[in-house]
Amino acid sequence: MTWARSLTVMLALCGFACRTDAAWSGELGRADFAVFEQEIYPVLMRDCGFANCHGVEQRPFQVWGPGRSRLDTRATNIVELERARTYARALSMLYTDGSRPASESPLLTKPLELSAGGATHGGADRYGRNVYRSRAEIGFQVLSRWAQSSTGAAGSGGAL
Amino acid sequence: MISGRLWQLGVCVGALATTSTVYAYRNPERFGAPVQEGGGGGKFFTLSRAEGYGCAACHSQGAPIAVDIRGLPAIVVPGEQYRITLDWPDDRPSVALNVEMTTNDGAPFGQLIAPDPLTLSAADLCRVSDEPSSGQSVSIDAAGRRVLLIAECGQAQTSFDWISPLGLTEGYFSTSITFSNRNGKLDGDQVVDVSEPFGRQSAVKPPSSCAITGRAPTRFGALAWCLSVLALVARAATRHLTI
Repeated sequence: MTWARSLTVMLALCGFACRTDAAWSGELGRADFAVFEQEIYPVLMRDCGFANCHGVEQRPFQVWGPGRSRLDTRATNIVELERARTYARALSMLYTDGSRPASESPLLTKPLELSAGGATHGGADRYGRNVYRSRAEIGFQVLSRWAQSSTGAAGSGGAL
Repeated sequence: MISGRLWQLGVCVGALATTSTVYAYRNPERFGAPVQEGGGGGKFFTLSRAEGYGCAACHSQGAPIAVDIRGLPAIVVPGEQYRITLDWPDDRPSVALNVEMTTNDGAPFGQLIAPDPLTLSAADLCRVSDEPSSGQSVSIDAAGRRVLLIAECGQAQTSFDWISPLGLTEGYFSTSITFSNRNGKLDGDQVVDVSEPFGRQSAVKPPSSCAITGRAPTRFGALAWCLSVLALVARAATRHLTI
């Protein structure tokens, strides 16, 4: 029974760690997976999926794939697993409070320069520049089109 | 009791350990390969103003390592060819880097060239190659971005050529160098970042009188020239007032 008690405590701790004072409630949005595979995944891999950036399990937004951080090399369907995980995490970044459009979701605001309407981002480069310096950059436009076509993830409360 | 504790330990390790592994780019050509094929998709991690990110985006930064940079001109003569050498401690056999020269806004600055290995010293050459090779190649993309890729091949230093442009005399030399510990992982490596302006002294215009000698003026010479002119002007003004 000792292990069962330990497991219960661990699960409780995990639940506590993931909970915030203003807990978020709502549903994850939906966005075209085929478009994600064809257009979004390559952009996320190129611009976000580095081992010291979003190629780690400690970050809410994660990008996995060949030539980047890998999930588990022993799995036979590793490519599918990595794309599915990246897709789920990208969907979760389409979160807004429901009253705002997907263009104000973290997937689009976090990598965008502040002066272009973006948000603060730890991934600024050596010169303090964000991933996309303007909305005109191709990578941002690809993400933006996909986000606009999604239902987004809307809910209430919570902190990102 | 022991098996129970082992089980607890297993659960904890399973919950906390990361399952991820990462593969580095041992072949420099992968930087330019499509991301769908595991390539960099055109990111070269030179730390230049064209990109802004270096090797530490993936590799651990680690402790600093002294790298000697020789041949970077303080005064850039348009159209001139320079040989630049990066020299690191000889006990580091596993070193890879990408080099880029840009203007302040990230545009290409001159031309980087991988020289004929026969013109290089033994320290520049790969230790793992039968034929003389420096492990260098140049990547040029559709936008004209020119990056010198230098593969890990056991060289003790690396030397390459750069031809300055005709219209500009001031730019930035950028490189991010990975010193691998060869454990096949990203942790434990060391990264040295360099992003250095050069050619700025050329903005100082020499006095016209110095052009006769064909030599660049020293600061003392320029100061003396200015003081002489001021003295002559003051003398003339004094004479004028006297008259």
